Amino acid sequence: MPRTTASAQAAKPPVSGPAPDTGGRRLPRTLHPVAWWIWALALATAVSRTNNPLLLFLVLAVLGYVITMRRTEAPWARGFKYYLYLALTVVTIRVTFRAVFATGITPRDHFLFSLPHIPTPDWYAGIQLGGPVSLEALLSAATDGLRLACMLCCIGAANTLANPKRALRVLPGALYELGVAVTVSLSVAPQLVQSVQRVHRAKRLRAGRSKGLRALRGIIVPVLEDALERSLRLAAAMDSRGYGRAGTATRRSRRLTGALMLLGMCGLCAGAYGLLDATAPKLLGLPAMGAGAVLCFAGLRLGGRRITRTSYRPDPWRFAEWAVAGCGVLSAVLLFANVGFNAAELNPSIYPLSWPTLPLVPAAAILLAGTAGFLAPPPAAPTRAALPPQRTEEPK
Amino acid sequence: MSGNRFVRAVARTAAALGLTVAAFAATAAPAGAAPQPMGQCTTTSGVVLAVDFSHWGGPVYRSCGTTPTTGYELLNQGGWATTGTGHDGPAFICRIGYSGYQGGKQYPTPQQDDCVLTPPASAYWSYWHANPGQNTWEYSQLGAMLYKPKPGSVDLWIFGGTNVEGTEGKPTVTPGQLRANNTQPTGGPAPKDTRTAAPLPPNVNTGPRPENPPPTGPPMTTTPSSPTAPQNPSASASPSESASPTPSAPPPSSSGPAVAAPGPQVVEAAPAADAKHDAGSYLPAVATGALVLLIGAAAVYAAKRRRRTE
Amino acid sequence: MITFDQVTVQYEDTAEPVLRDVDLTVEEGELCLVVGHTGVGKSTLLGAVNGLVPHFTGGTLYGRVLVDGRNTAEHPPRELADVVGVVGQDPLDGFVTDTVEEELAYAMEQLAVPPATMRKRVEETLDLLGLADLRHRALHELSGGQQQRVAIGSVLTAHPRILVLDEPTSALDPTAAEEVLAAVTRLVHDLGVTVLLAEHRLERVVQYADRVIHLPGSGRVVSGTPAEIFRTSSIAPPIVELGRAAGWTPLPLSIRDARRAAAPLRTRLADTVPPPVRPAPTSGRPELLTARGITVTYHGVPAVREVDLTLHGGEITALMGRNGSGKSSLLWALQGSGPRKAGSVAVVTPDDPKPLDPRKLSAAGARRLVGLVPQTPTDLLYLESVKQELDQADTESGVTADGIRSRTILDRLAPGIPDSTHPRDLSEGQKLALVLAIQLTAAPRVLLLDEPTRGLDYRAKSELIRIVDDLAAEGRAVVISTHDVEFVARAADRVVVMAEGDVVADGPTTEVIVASPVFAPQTAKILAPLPYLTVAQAAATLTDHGTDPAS
Repeated sequence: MPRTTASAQAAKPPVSGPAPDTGGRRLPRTLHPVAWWIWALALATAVSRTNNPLLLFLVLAVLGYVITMRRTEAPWARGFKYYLYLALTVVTIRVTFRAVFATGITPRDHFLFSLPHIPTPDWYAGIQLGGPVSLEALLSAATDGLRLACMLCCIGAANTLANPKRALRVLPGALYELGVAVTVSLSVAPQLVQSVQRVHRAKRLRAGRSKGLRALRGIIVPVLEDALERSLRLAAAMDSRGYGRAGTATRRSRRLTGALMLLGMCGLCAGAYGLLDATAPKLLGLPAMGAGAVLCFAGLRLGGRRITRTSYRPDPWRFAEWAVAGCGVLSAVLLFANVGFNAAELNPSIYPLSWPTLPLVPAAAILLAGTAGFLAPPPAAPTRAALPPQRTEEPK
Repeated sequence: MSGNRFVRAVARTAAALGLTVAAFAATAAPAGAAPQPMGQCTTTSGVVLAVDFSHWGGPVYRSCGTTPTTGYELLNQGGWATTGTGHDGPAFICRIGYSGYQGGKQYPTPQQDDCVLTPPASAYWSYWHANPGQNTWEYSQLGAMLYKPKPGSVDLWIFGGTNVEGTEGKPTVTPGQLRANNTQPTGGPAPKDTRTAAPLPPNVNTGPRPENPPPTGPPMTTTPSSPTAPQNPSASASPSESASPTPSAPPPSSSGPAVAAPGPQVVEAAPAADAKHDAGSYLPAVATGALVLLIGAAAVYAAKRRRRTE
Repeated sequence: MITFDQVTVQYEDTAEPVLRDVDLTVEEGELCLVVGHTGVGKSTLLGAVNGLVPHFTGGTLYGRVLVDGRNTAEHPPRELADVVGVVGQDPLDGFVTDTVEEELAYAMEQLAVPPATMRKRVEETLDLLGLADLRHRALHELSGGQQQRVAIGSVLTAHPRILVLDEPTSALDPTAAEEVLAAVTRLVHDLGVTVLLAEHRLERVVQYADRVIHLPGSGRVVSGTPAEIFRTSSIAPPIVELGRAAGWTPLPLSIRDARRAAAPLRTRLADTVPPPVRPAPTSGRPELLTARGITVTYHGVPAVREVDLTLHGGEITALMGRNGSGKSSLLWALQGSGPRKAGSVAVVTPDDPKPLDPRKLSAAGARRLVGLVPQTPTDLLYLESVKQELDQADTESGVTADGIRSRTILDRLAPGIPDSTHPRDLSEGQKLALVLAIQLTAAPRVLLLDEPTRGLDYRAKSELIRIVDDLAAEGRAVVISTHDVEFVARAADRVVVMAEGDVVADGPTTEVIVASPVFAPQTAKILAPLPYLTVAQAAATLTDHGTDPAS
């Protein structure tokens, strides 16, 4: 690119990603990662409010829609299916546990099948193993698991839609060590998978045992050594390239930052406890939370001041970011507001068995969150290599 | 070939399942427990169930059931109904309702507790027993489904904060106030079917005749002087039974002073039909399914278009 | 620019200091070549420049290292990032972001360079290193040479005055290595950057060096002009060895200078026939392995396309080709452990009249037919000591008491490795020997080595040549995949060149590597059109003819 245009572009705030002319349509760009995270966390919060299976399925559909519409071709954007597997596992585990650790069957239940009952001693009578299993028990376990699964999928959606490394940039400079750790793990984790495959294949060359603990060791030891060395090299590379330069920090200000952060975190924890546990003294709730937040903020500001960084092509925060974050937050607010619908509809009882209703306001709120699918600008089209890369496929 | 095998396998499974169902039905079907009019509970037979609604300004309801039974069955017959939590299942009593109180509305209401997770220790239904002949409450060490009340004992549920030692949130009524205290059953036998309680024959109840089913109107109390009774601070020296000890139907006023104890009034809860259960409509589910399909189709279409334009 | 003042570096786990009383001054704008055998402290010397030694590696540094007037004792690496840029061996290890542009900007972001300046510098760097077309590409999709250029660019954007490159081309094929080294020399000439470069394959860089820092191995450091140092150094590229053998002064360091100096030598050698590098093939070389139509695909993308290959006993075959041309895939397919979509492999065994396909055998059976040393030999090592590894190998191969034990094999390959050493603490060459010994315990008659020369210094390479010579002399067929032309010229009977999964050339070493300007070894380039490949050949001819080379 000619240098003249480069300096001309530098005058106005540059936008990340290529911005080819799309002929009147919105310019493709990547949305600010924090906007996606706010959206996803808000939706997860909304999900935590309900175990109505209809609403939960609606949430899954909305997640799927937004991801299909707005994910990129980057490696991290291909991981949503693993979150779906994880979600399925959660539901399965929940249902299995409910069947095995029977919670009892009521006379009105729809009996399904009976597992062999394992008697427990009297002093342990609180837990029963086996026994009759009812349709209601399995359904209630499934909806309960589905709720957790939906929350997992929300986090998965955030990870799929937002570039994790760009998201890390908003991390305050005071959390330098955390930043290194997360970056290293983000980079080394995929390589770990590759080296497991490589070592596993190499094992055949030695014709060692392929089963048992010692075989496992034959894989784990080389892989971990490899991963450890890679992590150290990456951390060294980050350090030599100036990550976490202290700027003007003194030892005293660094200690002060640490103390503020620690106190603030304690305050936040105590506040959360106070808010969630109704028996805790009232003083512990909001005041402690507020004080903790203030302390944390002060610590981050103080610590952030010592590290000066700039941002190349910063992700701008524009209307699309407000819209995406806003529609997520609004849906959570609507679900918690209890206005226009009966709170009982959010948690329909399975006992006695009845069809769940679809409360209109929460359903609309979830669909509202789905508008992020077109509120966000389309992602930048990937510049593909002319030939698929063979280098990564080649066994090393 | 393989299709045939599949069909056979399904048939076998179905048969096995059917057998299991049959076996279960054979063993579990005989319902030993049944709701009874209060008069059927004596010092040695039947179990008195009492539920304290005073947290919501209601009375203490009491009713009677036969043994053998479980605390859960006792609480789910004769118009009583409970709701468990989503997390722990039906065995954890989260809500209790009686068809004769507020039209069968269950407490705490969904606004007060969504009954998804285990309720907090500061606001839950605690479970108490009084063994036959004893006048002290004992905090239940077992859940409602596991506890089997002894004949002549009293079960009580009270909402609030209760610690395990039983020093806080103790019931305000005594077991004696709740017992029928008759040695012989009085009144007629109870209707067998818990779901469709037949109208009670006249003059069989110790208390005034309850409305059955009573979806409307205030529940009848054993004392016409109920508004004043709780105000009376004098702990009556009388054994303070709410029900008359005499087998005959006494005038309601006779038991008036009996509930003059501090605390909520005690009210008979006669066996009643369950609140009507509506299985609801399947239309919302169908509508949601259609909506989900629509969103999915939109996503697939958008993805295809995107791939084409690239 | 860089001053080492009485620097001694001592690690906790070694008795002797790695560097001892090093006094060194590097002037601004010099390209400084750091040479020495593996393990003499090259990486320690380079790491000390930006403070990674001792801030990151541990150990104790006595004395003073001044970089642009800053003492590394008081400045951790991150505080020196604006002065020193470091590029390591494997570029993928150092990438922090995902795309080329972001990677180029990363260091500047940490140095708080204003956004407008950043934009400008990124564009400049993209142009300087020829990366403009790749700006939005994901880093892991790039080829090795492109990756290494991005790695260099990512430190250059910070405008460091010193560039430290620790074996930047060791993972690259010759073309990619040329690409990177051309970029480095351009930096030195255009921007006046001071460059410290460690490199095993000196033949590639020696012509560009202004100064050579030689680490002979005692912990001390000798520094001087290339001609000065190479006259006596224990380590030297073929061009220097040829110059020494021919007695040229001043020692020529580039092919151009050498060719001019070699004109009389060429005339003198014109009528001679060079002695063969390797003993001429005896007629009775048996066919040990016959592969027909080998095809390997990954997710539908062919890596190897219908390759036919026949391996003979006693023959050393070099497999060459770009990164990603399918060399590894072919070797793994031949061994039977890797995927193979189509084709057949038949290995002749002495006890079985019918040839066997290693893929159809158990892992242990395949191993007795064909042994493979993978590119990362440490993948096969997982026990705590050399003895445990060797004992394990004996058990795995079912070596009986009267059979040849792996310890015997190892002692022959690399004598003097103690039993108690942890495999991780061995040098690259020793690790290779250990894995080779483990694989040879099964007595395969066909042996495949996947890029064994990577990370080996000249001494270790000579050792490897001796080892494979011995193996071939025992009647085994040996295949070595490598990028190292000089190694091939000295070690191989036959060269197979692959490109895009096809075999594009297959023939005697002399014919194949002399024919290609990229693959030709330095001696061949200097003495062309004479058919000389190695210094040893030329030196032997000169001695035979009894002529005084200096005349």
